[in-house]
Amino acid sequence: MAAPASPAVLSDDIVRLVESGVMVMVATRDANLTPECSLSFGARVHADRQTVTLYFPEVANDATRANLLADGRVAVVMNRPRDEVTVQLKGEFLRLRPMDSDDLAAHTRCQQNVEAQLISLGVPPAVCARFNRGPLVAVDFRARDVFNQTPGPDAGKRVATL
Amino acid sequence: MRAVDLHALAPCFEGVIPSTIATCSADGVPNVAMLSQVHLVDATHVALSRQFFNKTTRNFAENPLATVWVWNPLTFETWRLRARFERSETAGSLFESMAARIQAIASHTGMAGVFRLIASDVFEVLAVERVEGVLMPPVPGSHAPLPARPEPPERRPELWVLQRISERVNAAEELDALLDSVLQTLDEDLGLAHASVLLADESGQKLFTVASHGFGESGAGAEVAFGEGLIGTVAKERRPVRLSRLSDDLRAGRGVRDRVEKAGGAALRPEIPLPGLPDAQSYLGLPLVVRNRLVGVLSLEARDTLSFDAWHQDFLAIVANQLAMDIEQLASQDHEAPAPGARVTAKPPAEPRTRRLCFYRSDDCVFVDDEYLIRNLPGRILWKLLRAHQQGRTEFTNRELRLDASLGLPELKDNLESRLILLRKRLEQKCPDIRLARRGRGRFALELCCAVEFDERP
Repeated sequence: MAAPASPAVLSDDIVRLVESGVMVMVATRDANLTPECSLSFGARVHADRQTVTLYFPEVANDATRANLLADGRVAVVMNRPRDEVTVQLKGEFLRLRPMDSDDLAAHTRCQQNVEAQLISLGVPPAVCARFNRGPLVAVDFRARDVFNQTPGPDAGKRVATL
Repeated sequence: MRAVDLHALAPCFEGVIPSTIATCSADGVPNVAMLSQVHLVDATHVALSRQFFNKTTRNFAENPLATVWVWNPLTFETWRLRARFERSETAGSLFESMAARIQAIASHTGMAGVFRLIASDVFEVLAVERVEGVLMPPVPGSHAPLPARPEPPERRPELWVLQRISERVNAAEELDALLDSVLQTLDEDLGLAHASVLLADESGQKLFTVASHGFGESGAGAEVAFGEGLIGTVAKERRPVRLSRLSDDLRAGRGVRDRVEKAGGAALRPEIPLPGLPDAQSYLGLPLVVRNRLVGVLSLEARDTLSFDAWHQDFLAIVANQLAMDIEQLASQDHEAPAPGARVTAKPPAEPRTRRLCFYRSDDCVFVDDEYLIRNLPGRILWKLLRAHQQGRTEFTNRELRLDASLGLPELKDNLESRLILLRKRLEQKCPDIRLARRGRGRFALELCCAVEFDERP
């Protein structure tokens, strides 16, 4: 992935990566610095290229939501299964809100694309059909740092600071 | 939250679906990273492979708490492991076995030396939580059920199988009979249908295939250098290598390879073809070691993912130990005994065809009708036997070959038995008109069903 010189916004590459279908895993932490790990069903980069939305099941991830509300710092790894292209975004929690129609479209697109990749890699369609289809809640965060995590010589390098 | 017994989650640690680790720095910044495999150490510990220092490493050095997310590749259930960093290991059994796996994949994809294991980071798992909300409950009739793990062939009781192998091994008078019977037993009793045995050659730097089962062509004589590919890594490291989903392991390796090449990094070697099945998904290689000396490798493949589990590795390690000792014993015995039963001698046809054999002295290489047959020590042996046959001799003993200084056999561990097996199999494949027929333990005859033209070149 090309590394633009400290852009103030998330790059086209990141937007395309998210839209092409990524597995999204989220880390937060509590007051004791105990890290929490959760799955987001897709993601969306907003038009401002700084706000990113995650989608969590309404019924789960209480610890993640509690951590976001109490501390707000968040790390998100996005991994495209078909070629292992991976980035980590770090930022701060903005808000928890119901999904709107743009969220539904972004979530559906990202999930459909990632499920197609998983099926092509051997995950049974019956498994993908059972991934949680909602209800989901939207969590917005403001991205601050982007790190390359694609396995290889550049893994771990900071790609951008917003 | 449940009491910890990680063995109940064993499939999660086979490296089929990538795991995730969340950590947090001392100043409170969370970090999240993908892991290709979390290794099961014991009922309450897991280990992560560290190939380079990264943010995860720095974080658990500052704050030992971590949460690891794992997937069951059979049910796709997800689990959180609440863990605490305990120690790093840079030597010992755990480290060596994790390193062998990484080196096998790196070597197979032509990246030997590019990646290596720095440390095995061991975490105590304090609690295990099943994650709710990832999969919806199945709706009856709406979707096909989740795939069950393919039913393995009935696993006969371990002791029964060991006893059967032991009996067959003890009954084997010669090395090729021993190897064939063990591979046959693995197929019949454990459903391990694709296996081969490779033995170390006299240089101690290469392996060559002496027995194979379930691969169609015998592959006899196929060579693998120590450290090269999956089998070569088992030999070099003298450690088992077990891979549960080869396509993903190799895809990840190839991806790294592409990026290293694009970055203009190290000069990489070409990828090494898979040992046997082109579509293998599972691999298990076990070193055959006697008193700290590598005798060879027992190599198994399967078309299904997750075909070999920890049980296979442990059980087959016992089989491999017995096999190694018996190979060593049969390969070194030097006394002769007549074969029981009637002697079967090939009769030459009324009008035998003529085969043209050419020996190249520079590399002891024998060609038959311009096609490569064999080289090195077996090539020298064949040429000696053919010349003696010209003088009217037909029967030979292993002992006389051992005593023949012109063959250049090493004084110790000469591999003569395995070289004769290789020669016999290559002749069966490439020139069945010339046979090495057994005449009992340590004795054999050279039978020709053809006329031979000899040619010798520098």
